[in-house]
Amino acid sequence: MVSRSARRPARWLALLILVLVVVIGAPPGAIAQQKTTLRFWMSADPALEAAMDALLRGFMRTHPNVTVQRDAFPFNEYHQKLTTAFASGDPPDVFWMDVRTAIFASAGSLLVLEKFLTPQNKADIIASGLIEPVWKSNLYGVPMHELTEGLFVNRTIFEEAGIKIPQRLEEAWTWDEFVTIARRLTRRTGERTDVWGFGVLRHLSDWSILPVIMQNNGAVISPDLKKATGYLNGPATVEAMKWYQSLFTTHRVISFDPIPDGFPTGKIAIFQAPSTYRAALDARFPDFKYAVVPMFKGKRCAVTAGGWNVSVATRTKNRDLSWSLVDYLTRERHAEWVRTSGYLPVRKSVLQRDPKFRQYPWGIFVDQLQQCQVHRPNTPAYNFFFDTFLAVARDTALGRDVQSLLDAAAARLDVSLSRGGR
Amino acid sequence: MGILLFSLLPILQALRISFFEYGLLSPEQTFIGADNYARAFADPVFRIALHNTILFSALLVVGQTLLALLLALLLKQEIRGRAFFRSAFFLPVVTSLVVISTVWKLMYNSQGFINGVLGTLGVGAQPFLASSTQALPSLVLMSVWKEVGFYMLIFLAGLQAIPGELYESASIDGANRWTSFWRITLPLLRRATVFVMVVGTISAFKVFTPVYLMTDGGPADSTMVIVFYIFRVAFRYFEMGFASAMSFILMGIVIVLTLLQFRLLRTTVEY
Repeated sequence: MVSRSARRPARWLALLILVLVVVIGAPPGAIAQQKTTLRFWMSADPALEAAMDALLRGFMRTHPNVTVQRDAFPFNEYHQKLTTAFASGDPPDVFWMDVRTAIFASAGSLLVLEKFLTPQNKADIIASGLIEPVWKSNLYGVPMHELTEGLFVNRTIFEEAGIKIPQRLEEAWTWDEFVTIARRLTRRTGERTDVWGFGVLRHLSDWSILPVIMQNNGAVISPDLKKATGYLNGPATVEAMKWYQSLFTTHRVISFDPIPDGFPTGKIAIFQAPSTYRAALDARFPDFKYAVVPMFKGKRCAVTAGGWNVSVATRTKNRDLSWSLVDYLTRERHAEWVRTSGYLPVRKSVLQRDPKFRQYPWGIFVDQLQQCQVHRPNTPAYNFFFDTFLAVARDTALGRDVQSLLDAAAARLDVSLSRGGR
Repeated sequence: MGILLFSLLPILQALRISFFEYGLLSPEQTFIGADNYARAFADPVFRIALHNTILFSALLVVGQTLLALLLALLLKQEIRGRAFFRSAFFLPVVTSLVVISTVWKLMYNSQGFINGVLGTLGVGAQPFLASSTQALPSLVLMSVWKEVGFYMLIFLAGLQAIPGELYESASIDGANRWTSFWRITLPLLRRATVFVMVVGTISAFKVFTPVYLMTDGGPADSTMVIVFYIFRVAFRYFEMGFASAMSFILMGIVIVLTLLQFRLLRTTVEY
């Protein structure tokens, strides 16, 4: 007979054996599989986040063992959050990246994606989409979409003034024609301006002013991105900036202070804004009558193009899975993203398939994207370039001497470029 | 332990980083000795920022000290609505600086409230933040308005601590109001004045939010101040070593100024 004291350990042993039998003998499907979590970051915008969430749900349906944790941050905080995450050694796996690709790539933070991209995939992307995510000939991101600008005009003001609204790229206004129209539409009562002829959504930024420089065959930096003197302060750039200055000081068709919602409230007649502005206007001011016209042109046409790309952190523990997500968002679901986000397609297949991109008004943006696109300099010194250019733009608008402003800015930028962007 | 962990250790770490080239995004740190400090003194933007910061601080400290003293003297009187005025002057102190900066930026607009008032007085529209000569004084004016209430309370407390018998005795001896103010009030307010000026100077040297929200350092670097420049260098250009060096230079300047103020304003008058 077994004693009581001997029975207890025996019971525990029996229980252990039973558990082991169940676990080892059970079919594989009965054991819960571990889920992999991918962290995905993007710039915040309620409409874009909703569109992105729909895509991510689709990805998770096709990858049941994957959870994609999406976070979004306001644009003016986004790059700082990203930098802090990288600096702390805990970056997201997949994230949006823009013209600042070189800043992060030069620090070794971005995974080179060239080897993941098939030739067919790459061939489907329009040339403009493969500028910003490339640094030193390596591809560090795949474009989600493209974005460019146009001029939005107040249809009521134009009809009252009897001014024809151009609808094709070939009909774009020259600089002189644009100034004449803007002056005609500017209305003042004494010292107070009731209607400004012109306004810009991205006021005094490199995005808005770079096209003016390029339209005059100017430049802001050498092709190898190492020098600014001779380019930023070159004769063509100076001439372009002087023309832009005249809009503020001589012709007085644009306000130095931005006017919130000035365009849809009738305070601005012509408004330079990105292609996504249409959706914002239609949502917030559905009764407002406007038309899209091509950007004015100088010696040539030029409009800034860019957009968000999707990049992968070198520190990710799930490279293949991260690439699957990138490919899903940028290729498999590109058409859906374009439809729900309001951005322009970056894939030829989508452009060719949907006839609306060959018709007015989308056709204006697409034609400009393919024929007039210019890009901001993709250099590790981009933030320095942006701040320096912003200061130049503001001081130019205030009437300061353009040549001396650009000379000083070029000298400062050269120092930053020579330090490798620091 | 808390001071060590959350104050001393980060300061020592920042001091260490100031002797390195450190890019934040990349973990590599290269020792470069005092190069960052030498670079700061040779950097034209740093020198401009230092000049602007000193000018801003001087204007602000003098302006808010004088105005706070004046308001305290007025509100010490038995006037109607005294409690209301004390609260009204203190209200900006407890209002968010972000909100105040945003509202004042709109007020300084070419078609904003201030130019509207000037227009009714027959004065032409002023550029304010769009002028390299007016931008810094415009920020000073806003900052004085924001903080004067706090320093007014300090002076009020100091005034209320002065025994009334001193004024009575002075009056009996034939002193007029001006003499009483100069010979009794001011000397006995020295401790409060030291506090107001020292705290005001330290606070003024740390100016950042109004510049960040209202002027971005312009126009023409006329409102570029040290802390804003350090922020830019650290978090936009990712040069943590250089930014740390400038931070310690700023700290050294503030310590020297504070000690100078203590020395110059020390009081030998007691009651």
